[in-house]
Amino acid sequence: MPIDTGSPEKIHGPLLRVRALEKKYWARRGAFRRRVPLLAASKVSFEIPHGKTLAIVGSSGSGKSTVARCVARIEKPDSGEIWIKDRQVAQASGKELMSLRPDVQLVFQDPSTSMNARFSAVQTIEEPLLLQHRGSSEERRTRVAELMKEVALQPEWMDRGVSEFSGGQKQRIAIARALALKPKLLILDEAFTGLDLSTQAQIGNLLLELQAAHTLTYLLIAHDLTLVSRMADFIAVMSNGEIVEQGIAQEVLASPVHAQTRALISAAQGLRSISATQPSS
Amino acid sequence: MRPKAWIVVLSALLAALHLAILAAGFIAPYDAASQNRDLSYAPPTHVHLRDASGWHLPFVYRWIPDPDGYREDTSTRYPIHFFTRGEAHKILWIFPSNLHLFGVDEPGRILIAGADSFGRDEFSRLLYGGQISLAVGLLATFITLAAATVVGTVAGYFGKWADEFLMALGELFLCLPWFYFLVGARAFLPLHVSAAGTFLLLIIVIGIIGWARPARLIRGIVLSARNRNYVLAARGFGGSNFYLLRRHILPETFAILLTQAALLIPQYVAAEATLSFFGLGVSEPVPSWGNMLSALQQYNVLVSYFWLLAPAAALVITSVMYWLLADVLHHWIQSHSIN
Repeated sequence: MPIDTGSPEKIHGPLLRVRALEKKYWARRGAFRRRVPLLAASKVSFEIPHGKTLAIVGSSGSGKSTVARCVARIEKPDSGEIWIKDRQVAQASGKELMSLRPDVQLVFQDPSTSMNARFSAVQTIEEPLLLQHRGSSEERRTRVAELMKEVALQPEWMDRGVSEFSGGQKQRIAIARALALKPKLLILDEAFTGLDLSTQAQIGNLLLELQAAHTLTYLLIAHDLTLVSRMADFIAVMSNGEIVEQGIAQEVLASPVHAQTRALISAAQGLRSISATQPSS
Repeated sequence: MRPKAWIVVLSALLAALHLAILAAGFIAPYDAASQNRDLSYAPPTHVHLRDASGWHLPFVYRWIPDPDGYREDTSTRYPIHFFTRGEAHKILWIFPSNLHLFGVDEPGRILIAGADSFGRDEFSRLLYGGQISLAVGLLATFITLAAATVVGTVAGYFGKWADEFLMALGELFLCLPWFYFLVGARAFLPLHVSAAGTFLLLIIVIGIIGWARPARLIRGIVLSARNRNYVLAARGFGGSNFYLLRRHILPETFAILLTQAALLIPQYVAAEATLSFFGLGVSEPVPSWGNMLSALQQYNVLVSYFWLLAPAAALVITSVMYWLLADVLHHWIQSHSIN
């Protein structure tokens, strides 16, 4: 059930503000292997109010994941500003960056590649706590048990290898790991891709419950507009590294202005009509 | 047989071989330098169980030189004693002892793999020589893989100019004609280098030559592991470069290091044998499988005294066991990573 996050006590202005973010990669092209820039994100600006969800949508290669990685500071942006509350994180480094890490966490697309297959569930979930020097070994195990309960996993399974869990369970472990440091902002980078429809719905419900319980702010990177319409308060549409349209989710989906947005919506509708006409096997 | 069973069997056989060579002083009946000029090129001693008087415990006869070579002196039986006292030696180069696994009373002599031109027991020299040859193989492999891990990790993890420079250097190393380079390098060294000095020099030179190929493999693994999502996630939690390498990336290279070690050890044992065969390695009287084979450079020795080929047989057996191990390890790791 969608949770109403618009109650007045939960709104305290934007938690995340991104201004004129730019990121380019270098590639070698041509016979002389000349270095040429590939602009992955250009003049990207948006903000997310506290406790709300912004979905960035766009076709493959539009720069969605680059923005997510820059906000998570897995990648350093070339220019622009990223504000988490009143702290600028775009150019932070060293100890300053380390102190900012717990506030922003990222859940990756494919849970089986975002976790080390040689690790157990407890080793996976406690890694952020270990790296931020939180608690003793025993305290960390207790916290892992709490987190596993929170994402509806049995704490008794904590010593099992992560490869023994199903896709949906792995994504729950990934979410538990992301919650370990009590972040303010959770970036969900295509976190539903690769999961079957019922697991997608379960993970979606879990995320909405967690958002309500902890007043979490989500940056959702997705291309499934059905899911986006259910979870997001705001939408930003990206194309060729730029945001071409953004606004309140229902408004953008109801009356798209940019051609890219219209293309995405019609593609989603096309897929729905195909699946509706196909006989069930 | 399943790959895991093969790994266990081959590892057990190799462990037995290495233990036997490590305990050369105890297993060998004589010292490697112990000469008996009356037994020059004596063939392997025959072990008997019966004579004209009937059945006995295992015994041997002395070799007596005659115009056709050697004949057995059947007048006296020399019973084989187990756990017997004999020539002094040191267990693991530290503890003095004179206990031997087997031996016969003087003046009898048990030569189970025959004798060389100085009448030295070939079997004892094979065991002592194995210590030099296998130590060169193992230590040089350790140096190669340590250098390859450092170079491959720096190139793969930090990339950019370090990657380009180190990989270009690797290509240069792969192109050099190493054997001729070594022969040339040896010419610059003093004529007489002590056995320990040559031993160290061999380990360092052989160890340094081979880093380029495994370094490229390790670079590839580090390069792909560096961008895996779980490494990026750990970076997002505040993991330092050292943490990411130690906990996530370097463990990925263990499998390839293991396979490379199993491939490199026999290659380096053979490299030591080649250099010593041409007189560039450890010199007499210290035995190594290579310098023991150098006696076969003379054609009449090669065709007349087959038992002097024992070091070649030891080289082949050791190499085949290591190669088989490398092969099953490779297949086991592949199937393991697919699962």
